[in-house]
Amino acid sequence: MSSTGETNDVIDLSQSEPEYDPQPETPSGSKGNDLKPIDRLTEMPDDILSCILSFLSIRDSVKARILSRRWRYICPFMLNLDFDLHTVLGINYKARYSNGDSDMSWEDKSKFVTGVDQFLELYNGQKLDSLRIYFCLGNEYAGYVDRWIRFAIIMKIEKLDFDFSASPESQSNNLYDFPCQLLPQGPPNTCKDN
Amino acid sequence: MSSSLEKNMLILRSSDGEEFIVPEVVAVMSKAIKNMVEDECASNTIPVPNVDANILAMVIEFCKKHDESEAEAASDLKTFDSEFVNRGQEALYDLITAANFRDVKELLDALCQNVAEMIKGKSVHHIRIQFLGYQLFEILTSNFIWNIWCDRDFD
Repeated sequence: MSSTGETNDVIDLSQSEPEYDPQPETPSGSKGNDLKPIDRLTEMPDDILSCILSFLSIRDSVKARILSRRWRYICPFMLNLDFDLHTVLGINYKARYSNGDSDMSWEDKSKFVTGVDQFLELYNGQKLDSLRIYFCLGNEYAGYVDRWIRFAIIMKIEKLDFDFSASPESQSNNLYDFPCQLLPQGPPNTCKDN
Repeated sequence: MSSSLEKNMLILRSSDGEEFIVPEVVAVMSKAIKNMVEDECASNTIPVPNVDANILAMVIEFCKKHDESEAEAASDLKTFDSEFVNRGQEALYDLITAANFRDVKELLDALCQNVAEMIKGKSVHHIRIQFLGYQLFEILTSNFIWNIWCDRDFD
């Protein structure tokens, strides 16, 4: 990680909204139970829906799963789960650092960690080969990261690839402590924990 | 009819009674038909229930192309696949049902990929319109956690 020394960026962190306050977009009354869905897609067997989802990115597959209750618990056939700026928040890499600019807002961070949490919680698919999470996260999100590691252990994931690095200015003090004691056979093979 | 049938040819009969004479190598691209042939429980005419003549003709066209073009460049076949599956949603779902029921893996993959392309990069709103018309539909965005994945798309 090279240091370009633009200290101005740090200010943005304090300016952004620290609270994440999710607002329900749909009024609770409009459930639409009286209108039967007409789409034939939703009537397809689980295998077909899984197959369709497996051609999509994580973000697109979640959007499809929002369509209906039927889709919600359909899991794409995937061997590798990749969570980063693009797959979770739909932001393309435009930043100098792979995990985004240092002014990534608290709101975006909250969205990211909650989104990953949600996805893993509903994951009921087959065994995974790898879990990759690239995002600028400090130790304040340790609770989330611990949960992801627990998920990886339960799912017997062989390759765990975390990169929580941010720009040099914003990662000064508070890094995530990787709980190496959780891993029975010593340190992991692939683990970037900056 | 069966007497004049060449060797290695099979007759497939659609749900609405139309018969198609198909080389066995093409027909057995359907695993379901392959199993029937291997178990020798297939007479000359194999009924294909739940698949009408229109859809069966499409499935046969797809299988024939894939059978012929094994030596052809993979990119040509890809072009054929993407043109083949580019159909209206009704035909698409009929084909998916047929491919699933008859277990034609290549066709099923191509079709599923095509449906995925219809979803790719679209907002939740557009996906809904695309698949449901303008019908109202139970949408789970009231669940705040899902909002995280889609709220950028409502602009």
